[in-house]
Amino acid sequence: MNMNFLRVGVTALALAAAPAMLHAHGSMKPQHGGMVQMTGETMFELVSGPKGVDLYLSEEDQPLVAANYTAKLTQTAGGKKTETVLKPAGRNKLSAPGFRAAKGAKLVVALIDKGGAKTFASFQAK
Amino acid sequence: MAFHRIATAAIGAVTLAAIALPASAHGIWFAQRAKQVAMIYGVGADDLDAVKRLPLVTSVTGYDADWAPVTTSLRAAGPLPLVDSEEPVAAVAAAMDYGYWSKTPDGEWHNKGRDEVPTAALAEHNFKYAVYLTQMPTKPVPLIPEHGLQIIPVETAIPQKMGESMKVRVYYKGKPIAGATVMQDYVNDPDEVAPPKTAADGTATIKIRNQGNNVLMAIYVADTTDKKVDHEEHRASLGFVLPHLPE
Repeated sequence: MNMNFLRVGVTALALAAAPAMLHAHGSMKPQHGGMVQMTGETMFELVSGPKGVDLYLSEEDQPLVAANYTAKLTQTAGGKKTETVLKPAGRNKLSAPGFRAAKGAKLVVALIDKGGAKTFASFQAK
Repeated sequence: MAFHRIATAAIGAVTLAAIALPASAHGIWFAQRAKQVAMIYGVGADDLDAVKRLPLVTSVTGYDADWAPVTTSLRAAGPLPLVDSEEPVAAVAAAMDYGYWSKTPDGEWHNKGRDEVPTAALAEHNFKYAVYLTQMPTKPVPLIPEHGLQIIPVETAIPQKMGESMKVRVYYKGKPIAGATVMQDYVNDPDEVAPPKTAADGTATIKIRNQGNNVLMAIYVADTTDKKVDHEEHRASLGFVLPHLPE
């Protein structure tokens, strides 16, 4: 009887903890219609359009200050690599104006903070 | 009071034992630190000064998922050597020549060969290696030419649950070697009792201990023609992470 009580208690605690665990590092829903990827606890959202490529950064649903980072975007398509710099463009956005992502290309973002720590995120262009 | 004296004596003995720990007992492996991959030098929970040992690192190599080389290096970032690569790496590896170490009868270790420490009871040349899989391999782990000793999973797919068995093969100078010790959890069980030893075909079966970071460590004492030491000790880690449940 006591064991049953304990089991119910443990289950209740697990259920209570579950919603928090599901979103421990924030939402994975795109906020700008782009492709998203979580690396560690950093959420990368890459938006590719006719005017260029934008990258939005957040952690635990909080925007990261783009000015605190430098970033490079490498595209691999048909065995050929092209690179561009993503420059801070206000709030949590970095941009590469004019960069055209080729359909199906592999896109790798290398994000470097002011301490030199580097984080990668890989995408496949749609 | 008596308890206090016993406790003090015990702590002193443990401290002395730790100081007397041979250089050869330490290994290198990789682990995540603040979203970065760091090279660790130590044993068990002892995470020692790896930055000051960076000059002893003889090679750092990185690979993509196809095992194609990726330009990779180690950079000192405060107290940690962090992996720096041009592209994402699926695996990273390092080799270290830890040099000559001689132990005198008083228990002291000296960073010299027998030629300079003629009274040494033991003299050895230490080599340390580390391979870290940052993601589960989709192709067999290859031999890394710069590594004198290496652990390679026999099957490409690594079991994904703690407690499952995994067969590994240990290679010395590119060939399967019998009699190498394979410690199953170098970080959390550094004093493992009766760890598996490799059979004639170089294989050993280990149990995966952690649903998280796993560091296997192969140890092989090899003969040498180098007159400055009695033998070489090679210590090679294989690290990988089993995923936790989705958050």
